[in-house]
Amino acid sequence: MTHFLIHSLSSHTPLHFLTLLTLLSPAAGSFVLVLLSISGVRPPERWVAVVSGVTVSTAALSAVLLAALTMLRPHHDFHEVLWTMYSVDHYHLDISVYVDPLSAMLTFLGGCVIPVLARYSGRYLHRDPGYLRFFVLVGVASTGFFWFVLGGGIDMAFFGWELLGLSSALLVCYFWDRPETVVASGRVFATYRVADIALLMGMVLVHHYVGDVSWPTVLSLGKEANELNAGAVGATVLGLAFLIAAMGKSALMPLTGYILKAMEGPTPSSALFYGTLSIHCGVYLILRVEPLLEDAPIARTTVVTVGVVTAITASLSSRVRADGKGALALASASQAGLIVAEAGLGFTRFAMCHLLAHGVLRLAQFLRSPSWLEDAQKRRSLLGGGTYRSGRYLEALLPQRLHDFLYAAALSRFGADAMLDGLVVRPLSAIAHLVSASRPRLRPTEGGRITDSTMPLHGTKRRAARPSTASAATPQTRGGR
Amino acid sequence: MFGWIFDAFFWLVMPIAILEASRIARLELKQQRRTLRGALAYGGAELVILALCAATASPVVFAILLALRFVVVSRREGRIWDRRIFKSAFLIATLVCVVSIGGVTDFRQLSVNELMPAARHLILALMGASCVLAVVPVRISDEPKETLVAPPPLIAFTRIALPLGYYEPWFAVVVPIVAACLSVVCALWLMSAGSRANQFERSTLVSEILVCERGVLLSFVWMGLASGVDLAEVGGLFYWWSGALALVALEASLRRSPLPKPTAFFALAMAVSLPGTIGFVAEDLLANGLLELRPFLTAVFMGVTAINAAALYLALVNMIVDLRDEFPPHLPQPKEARPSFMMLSAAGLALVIGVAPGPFVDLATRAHTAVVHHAPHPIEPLIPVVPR
Repeated sequence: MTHFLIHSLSSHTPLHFLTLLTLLSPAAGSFVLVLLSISGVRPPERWVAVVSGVTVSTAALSAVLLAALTMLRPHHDFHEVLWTMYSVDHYHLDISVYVDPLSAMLTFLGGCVIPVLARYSGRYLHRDPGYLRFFVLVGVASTGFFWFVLGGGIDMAFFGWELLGLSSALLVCYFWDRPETVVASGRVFATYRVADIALLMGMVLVHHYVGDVSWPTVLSLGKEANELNAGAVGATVLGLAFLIAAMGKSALMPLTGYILKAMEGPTPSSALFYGTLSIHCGVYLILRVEPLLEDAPIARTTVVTVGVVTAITASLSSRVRADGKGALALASASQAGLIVAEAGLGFTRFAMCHLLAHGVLRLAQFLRSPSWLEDAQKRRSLLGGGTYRSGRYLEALLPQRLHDFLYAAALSRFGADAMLDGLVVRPLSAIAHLVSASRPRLRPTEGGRITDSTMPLHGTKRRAARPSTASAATPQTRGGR
Repeated sequence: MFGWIFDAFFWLVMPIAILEASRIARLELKQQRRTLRGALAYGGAELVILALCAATASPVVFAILLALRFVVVSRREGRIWDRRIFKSAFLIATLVCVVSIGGVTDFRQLSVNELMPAARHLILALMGASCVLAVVPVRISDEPKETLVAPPPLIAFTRIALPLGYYEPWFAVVVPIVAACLSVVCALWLMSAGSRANQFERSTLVSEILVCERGVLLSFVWMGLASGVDLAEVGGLFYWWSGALALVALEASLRRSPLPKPTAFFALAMAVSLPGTIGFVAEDLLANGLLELRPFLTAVFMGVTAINAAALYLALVNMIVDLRDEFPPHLPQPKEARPSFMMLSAAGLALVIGVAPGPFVDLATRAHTAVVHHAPHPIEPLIPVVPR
């Protein structure tokens, strides 16, 4: 019996099948829903829920089975090239899968979380006009997540990474009739794009160094005994590229600010992306390339520093945040920073456990956040009423001036957003406006020139309209979007 | 003198020619309100001229075809004096130089004939000038109606400048740098347009988005083609296809009102090279190819792709906010426009090529080999012919 079990686990067939099911099932669900939508059929909620539920649950079940079977295998890993997409001379791009304890753990988390979320969302978004759109995007996000985790190389991981980013940005502007959500999604997308480009850069560099971007090769890069050793400089550059990618995805300092804007989306999507899956993708990336950091002390130190700074600043900011979802999002970023620091210090197993526990806990907190006040009142009544805080907390030990300083700094999120705006967004927009000064930008109706507006990427501050033309007072003047 | 080259490059150009021709026929029918016969005639003329441009081996015939195309487009658009006249003049001057100074009567001789350095420099400079004119969006009304992906300048560049460039070491340095600068400028223009969307009329904004996005994508094509690295040159050719599909999809969705948001976002995904679409393959090939010799250009390429994606997204979301102002939420909302056939076919093609790019990358590789190394690589039949 044991022999049979080991033999069947050693063969690739069941794992192969489960992998394909995990990767393709949610995509198929989304595809069916999109086809229904394009064909003009307005499917009832029940159909949408059934199609989405069946495909997502199938993927989740196969993901859990895949994780379990991989852990039972003799060598705990499974790497296979499914097919070669294309090849030009010596260059080729393979579709491959790689399952090891790390990816199995995150696959397990995704498999447990996604069906719960789909079920919750089915009720939460009942009779919402964007019901179909939400489930299409959840399918896309699930596909992206599983491709990212199970992909056999950086190229496949990048595939999922981008899908996850785009679906996340589109879900932030789910309530598109409110300008704030649309503006926020622009900021989220821009930040994700920075992360995408950093990951792509890492991928291209790895290919440049060794001609292969599969995970087993990447993981062996940092080892000195390996003939493909990229050297200290190469490993440092690669480590920093992956760190920038992780900073964007996991909201590490100084890119933490976008996560608050991302809270404009519906609660289930916030839970999915910023409580459980997307926020941990950057952390997973650092955990995955951790062996590479062995040869790159500078990159390792930077990883730990960024992680610790994020943990402290985001934690303080979350404590002064007035809205529940914002506080939860910053707390997520804080924990992500902590896990990154643990990974940077080499405590990978501890970081993996931390990640798993944090993902599940944060999901529960996010999903309960609409009932936060009710829950608080219940708890308070169970405790017999009275105040919630004992008065004996850590801040009380600090000197008053330091306490006030930290409070003000935490409120402004330690100036990270202002710094990014000042160093990147405003100069870039100023250059863009300068370069395009000669471009036509007249709205010829009523002959009035519209006043300049601030870049929507960095906020919604309104600038007073110039009263020089008669049309400046008309409702068309929508400066400061 | 009137030789024809039905090589892999010809077959690579054909889908672009078909796409352009069908786009023009549709525009003439829907926007210019021409009769079906008139629209088909203009579309057919475009297809035939582009196909002949890609197939001819003779610079003289190419020049005659360009002049003929200029006449047809001027009649179609109803004006002569615009940027097109300079672009065509530069291209025709290049071809005349190839024949008169270079003494070349067949494009295949370019890699064999020893041209004088001065003649080579002149030809490459003229070619470069016409490409710059074709890429840079000077006036928003200039390009979108005439052509989206500039087939004649890029066909000429591939046929003439690629073989000649192999003799000039600076060619693979200067031209990609110029292309990179153009891509940065176009991306910044797009960013500015996207952030000031409320300062445009809707139709002007769409044209502005299209010309700027077109500038970015064509700069990438040009950067790849002139990079001097085989992989990047194949990537450049592939980017040409990718850009054509993305621009057609963008135009087809943005010009509809009320804006069909799902299809517009899919077109965005195509333009920003989302994995699973053709753009990803093109971006991957180009980035890897550029890195072999030009890491600095790779960094610029990556940076511009990031700015381009963010700017395009910004433009699109600002259009949606404008849409909200046109149709306030408290009033009954108009039904979204259904995606057009053009949009769906472009998206379908982008998906198919993105998921199974193998045969198409092979075709681009053979086209590159045929042009640069002049090895005859006729396209093999899809179904092998079994001899009786």
